[in-house]
Amino acid sequence: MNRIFKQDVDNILKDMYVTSEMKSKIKEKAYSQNNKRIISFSKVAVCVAAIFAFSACVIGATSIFEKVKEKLGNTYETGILKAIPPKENTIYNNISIDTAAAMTDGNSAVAYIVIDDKETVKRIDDTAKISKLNINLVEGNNSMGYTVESVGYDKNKDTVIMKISIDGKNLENKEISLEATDIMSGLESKSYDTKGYKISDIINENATFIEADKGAYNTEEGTIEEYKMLKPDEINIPINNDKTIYISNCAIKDGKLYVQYKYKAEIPNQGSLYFRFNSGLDDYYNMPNVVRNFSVSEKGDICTDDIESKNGWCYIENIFYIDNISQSKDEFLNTTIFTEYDYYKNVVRGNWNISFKVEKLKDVFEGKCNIDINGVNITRYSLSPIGITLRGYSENENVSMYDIDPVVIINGKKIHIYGTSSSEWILDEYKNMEENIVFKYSFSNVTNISNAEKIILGDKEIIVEKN
Amino acid sequence: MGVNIVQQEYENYEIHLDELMDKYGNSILRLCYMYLNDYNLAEDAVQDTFINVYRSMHTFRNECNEKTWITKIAINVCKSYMRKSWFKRIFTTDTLKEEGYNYNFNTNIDRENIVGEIMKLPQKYKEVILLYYYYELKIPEISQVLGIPSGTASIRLKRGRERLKETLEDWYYE
Repeated sequence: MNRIFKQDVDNILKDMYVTSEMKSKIKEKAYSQNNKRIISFSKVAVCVAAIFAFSACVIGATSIFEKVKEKLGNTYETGILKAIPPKENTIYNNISIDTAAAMTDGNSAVAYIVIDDKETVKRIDDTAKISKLNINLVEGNNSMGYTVESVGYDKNKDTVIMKISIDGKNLENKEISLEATDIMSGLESKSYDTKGYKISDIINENATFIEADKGAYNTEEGTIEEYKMLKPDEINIPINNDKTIYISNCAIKDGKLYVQYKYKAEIPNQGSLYFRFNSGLDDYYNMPNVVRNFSVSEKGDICTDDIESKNGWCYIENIFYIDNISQSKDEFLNTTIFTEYDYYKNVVRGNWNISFKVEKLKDVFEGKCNIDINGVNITRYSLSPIGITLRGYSENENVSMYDIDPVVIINGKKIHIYGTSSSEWILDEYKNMEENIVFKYSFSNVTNISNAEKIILGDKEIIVEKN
Repeated sequence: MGVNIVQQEYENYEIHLDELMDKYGNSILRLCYMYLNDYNLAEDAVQDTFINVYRSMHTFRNECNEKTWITKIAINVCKSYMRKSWFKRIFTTDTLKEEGYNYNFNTNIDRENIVGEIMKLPQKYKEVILLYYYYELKIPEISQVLGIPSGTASIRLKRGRERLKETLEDWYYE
């Protein structure tokens, strides 16, 4: 099986390789002595690059649009950006959320929102995160896909700017609503700390096991099991200095390690904690087979599957199959357990609802081309301050363009578009066999493309027509 | 094994990083992809892996070979991704569409083929199968990479193989 297996896999994944661009990025990051954080290619994760680029930004102007003008660079100066004044200025709990600018190129949209704390007590900072965000197209009330990035923070004015990239087509002049619930800030984060706990020191030998009201879902096996759970709060081992996170019980039973922790919480997802095991030589990253959220009422009633806090704390129980880590219980008891966590100290409760219209950008260059890449015939392109959209034909729905890192040449300078593409196969919608696939790539920041010269796709290039 | 690239002088690390990326980059990328079921994350994982490799070259000792060492770093990077809350939220629940946007390039892979079947395996079997059959590590090396006893690695390999046997008749033989 060995060789055939490997050859088959390599053959199937032959288009997946480390590109020279990827190597360059790795080297750039690796060699950079000052770079303490790693920039993510992925849009799924927060765009760290954007945060870094703008984290030191000071927002001096007073109007909402002035606050984001700096983020938009000279795109605004050239008049290509249509900023829509916010239709609503929603204040909740003395924090306002306003739309400062919104735009579409017809293929996707971008909105900048400004979160402004009007109180003098510091409640938001550069780690601010909206706990729950829904973006809807007002017409038809359709939920829309989006990514959100924090792109600016003014510590003097307690103002945070977020960029929301919205996927969708034919959005010009459409109204979009935004519902934001609860803002978290004051992130306390710990990872790869050297302080750990020997398992034997945190085990509660007299732990009480109780029957849970529901079984917990085993993500590996896909089955409901684990009806046994620990009685909470039989021990209290503080994890952080503020004593907002505790190990609340810990025991071994039937070859499994049960560890419960709790964090002080006004809202769910205010904290998260992970365990890492170390034998003294190696780290073990074994995933818990079972994770169970539960709440404890003031009266002590336990409700599993509940992420809300009933007594001011959110509880989570992890169940580890320890035979995967050690051969004997004694060996395991000598293992060290490390905690890694994220915890937001501040929460401002609220429910902000705003809506805004997106206008179409003026500078959208479109043209025809004829390029074959990865079995796709690209026949049309569109370049806008938001990004690039490529349209073409593919016989295969499951086609990829992941190894293409598009580059736009503007004033002789290369502007990379990092890994933010999405694609869709639209044959069913258009019934058009000459064009059935769309790829979209977004700039990290809104970019002035008025002097764009060409788009480079791998070893192919498209000369941009100024129409 | 050939020349142990990592053991050479620190001032040559930049050149060595290049060589290591050439030598292992593609297979690490594919390994991460099959491990994480997501191309963008796999790209991130490859980046993090080689940055970690570069930064820890001076700590590399000849306790294991460089392939095992790099693989171990890659697997740990993948596992650290999987422990992140956003990973759990996006990839292990049904709330994907509500919670955020998934730039997932899995769709280029026919999920019925060998890669798709491997990606469907439970994590603990998938990692052993990948390391044994795709990355061609021996059981003791897998034990080192995953930090599990050799016996456990063997059992998981056996069980993973049994699961694949039913769906991969065309590929499978003892």
